[in-house]
Amino acid sequence: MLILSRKKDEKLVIGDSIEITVVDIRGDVVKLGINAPADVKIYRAELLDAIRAANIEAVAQADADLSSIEKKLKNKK
Amino acid sequence: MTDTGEKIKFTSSRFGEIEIPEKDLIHVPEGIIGFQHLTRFALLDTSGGESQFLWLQAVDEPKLAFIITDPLIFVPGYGIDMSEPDLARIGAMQKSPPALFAIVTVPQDNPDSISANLLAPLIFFEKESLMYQVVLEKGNWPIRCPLLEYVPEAGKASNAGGAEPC
Repeated sequence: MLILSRKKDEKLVIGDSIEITVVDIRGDVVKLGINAPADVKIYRAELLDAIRAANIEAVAQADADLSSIEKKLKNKK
Repeated sequence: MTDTGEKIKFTSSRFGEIEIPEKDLIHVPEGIIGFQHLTRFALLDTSGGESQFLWLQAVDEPKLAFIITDPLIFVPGYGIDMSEPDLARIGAMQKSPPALFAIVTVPQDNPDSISANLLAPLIFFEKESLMYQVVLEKGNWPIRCPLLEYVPEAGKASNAGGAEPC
């Protein structure tokens, strides 16, 4: 992993089209400004981690039996 | 694109040998988050339309399938507000309005706590046979919306009191 030190208002450039600015530093919180092309996905890593975990958990067992749930759903309606 | 007469054969741990027309193959170019290596899926419904659930089976991994559902059945107020990057990447280029699916989790030890992921739904462009999992950062939708606990009551206007869990 590349590790760089930056001060407030200093920037980083990634590739030809992504620019990250350190907007503010307060205590242990760093505020970043990101300029990137409109189609680049930018997420907080923990959000993607949570979705990845949920997807892995959702992988269905081949013998999963939905019939009792379907029945309960119908009865509830 | 492809010869509509072509058939695709694959194996599913749950359903065995399967053959579908190649045009029914669903392409997930960006993959499902955590499963980016799998880009070909098939939508399987063995209930003849009776069930609220469908199976999204990976064509290249017999053991990998997701149970999915139409989230609007359970949460009538559900809607998606795609992020700008998602719109730029996938929204603008599609001509037909997409269908929405949510990935369902059925815990083995407690099937009644079945839930649907409303935070990261699947957007399906049927005409183009393209599917994407998108992350809805704006809507505050839960990653695990309980389905058995939340069923809209007939007499109650949905989302009236703001008491809905999802």
